[in-house]
Amino acid sequence: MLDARNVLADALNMQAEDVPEEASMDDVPEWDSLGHMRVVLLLEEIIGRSLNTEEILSLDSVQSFQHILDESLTVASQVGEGS
Amino acid sequence: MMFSTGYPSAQITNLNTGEKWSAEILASEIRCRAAALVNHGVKSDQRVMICHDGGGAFFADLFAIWSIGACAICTNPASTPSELRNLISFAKPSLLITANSRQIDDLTCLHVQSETLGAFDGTDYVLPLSESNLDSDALILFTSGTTGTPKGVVHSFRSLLARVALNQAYIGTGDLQNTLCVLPTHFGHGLIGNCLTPLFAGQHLILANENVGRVAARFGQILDDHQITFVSSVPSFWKLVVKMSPPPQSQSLHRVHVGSAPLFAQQWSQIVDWAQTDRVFNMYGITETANWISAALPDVENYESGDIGYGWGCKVAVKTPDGCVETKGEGELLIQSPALMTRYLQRQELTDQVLKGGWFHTGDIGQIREDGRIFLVGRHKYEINKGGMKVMPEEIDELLERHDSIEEACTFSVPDELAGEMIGVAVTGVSSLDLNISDLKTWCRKYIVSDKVPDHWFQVDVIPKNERGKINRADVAAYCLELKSNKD
Repeated sequence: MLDARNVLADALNMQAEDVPEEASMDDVPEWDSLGHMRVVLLLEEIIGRSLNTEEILSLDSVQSFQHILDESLTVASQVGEGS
Repeated sequence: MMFSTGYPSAQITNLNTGEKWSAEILASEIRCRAAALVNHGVKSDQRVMICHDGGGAFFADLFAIWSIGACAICTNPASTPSELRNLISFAKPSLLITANSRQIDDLTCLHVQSETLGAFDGTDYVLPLSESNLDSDALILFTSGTTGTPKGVVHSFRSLLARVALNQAYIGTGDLQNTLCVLPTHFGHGLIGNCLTPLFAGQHLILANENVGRVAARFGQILDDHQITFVSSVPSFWKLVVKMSPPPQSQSLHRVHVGSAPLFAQQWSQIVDWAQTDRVFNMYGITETANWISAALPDVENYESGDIGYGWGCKVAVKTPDGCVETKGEGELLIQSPALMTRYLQRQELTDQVLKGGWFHTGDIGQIREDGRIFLVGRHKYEINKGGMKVMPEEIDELLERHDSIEEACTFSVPDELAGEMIGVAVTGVSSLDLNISDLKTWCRKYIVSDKVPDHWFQVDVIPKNERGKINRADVAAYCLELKSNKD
């Protein structure tokens, strides 16, 4: 399973240990509007699809990031198994 | 002065807070605040610093300062106490106005909160006749000042009025009818171009300049809901919009300005497609000319990057490498404009470097073609342009070299797909131990706004220098990026 903190740190040019486990956008100065765009682009690359506006807006914490990551990868693996 | 009245139909809607100010409310707030300023002892030859966000109260404070003939200094609301103290000690305002909740210790000037000014009962207050005139100082915008000696661009009432009048003449009042501002109001682009221009044309200013990511994600909806006719922004904002927001359903946009950073052909096409208008202008402006001085409406078929079109009520020339001033050809862009700053505050030597021979020397390298069309081709200076925000690398070096564990720092620009440029820094430590970059970033945020904290850090054994022992920032950048590339 991919760890959201590692992916976020990668997108935001940080060390994973500097991203608190319960962090929200407000807690991470690097996660500003441009940082958010980097996060969105990297997440889309990983899950292989575009996020919609509501998903982009809901993506505001490590927890919500992990949720979308897990959900999308689960769906992707189910599609893979079914095909 | 002329700013206390004269915009009978102007209104402000602040989408950040939901507040709506009619022209009547604005006029009443200006009057209360002007009376409060006089009550605090502010006189027409003095300066007042505003350090809060751009809602109705910001404009009421600004116009109140101008209505008593004083000079306003607009600063970044996110400035750290250290930055504010540096600016105050340099510019010596008689009063600082901040947001309602902000407390700052050890200030050398009087500090009031905006709400207190607005609550002053100025109904029967007779304002003294202002002793200022059109050539008095009206506005100071700092383009640097994080550390060391700040660089404050001083505009007179005359240069500001000239800029606003020229903007209105070139844009047209119809396009300004519902103007959206997504930019901060302590820069010339956001304040003068995007806000003062529609307000002085008696039009509706709609502010959505907080939480840029959310604004970008809902941008199409915002345009539809408020029937926005005009918006100006920076290329990095449009990258967010095109990626994150569905396009507008209505075609209310009459005009789009994109400026403060280079706009390339592909992005211009994306904006045209998304905004459903081909009236997307690439703008050129600098704080010293009170923002826009030229605009290009590109040819759809033949867009050329760097095209900044034709001057807006100014004379443009180039200084060729052999020192001649020519109206065609390539060289440093020179400007004559009625909207030109009067000087850099208390920096005569610096002023003399840029205002000479009757021309303002921009530091930008341009090309003027036979038909007078202007193209930007480069820059003289090392200034970093991070998504439209200008950062002077020397300031970051100076700050970092104050840190106990850093021996030497060299800040430079790093190319970035989204922001255009990001801030990179090469640092050497006083010992051979690895520097803790996370701690260094946290330390920086105590002294400078978060946006200026370097994004890419490179700890090196030695910062490369030329044979004369001087640092060339471009060489250091190339060295660090190659190190990174080898490591990756």
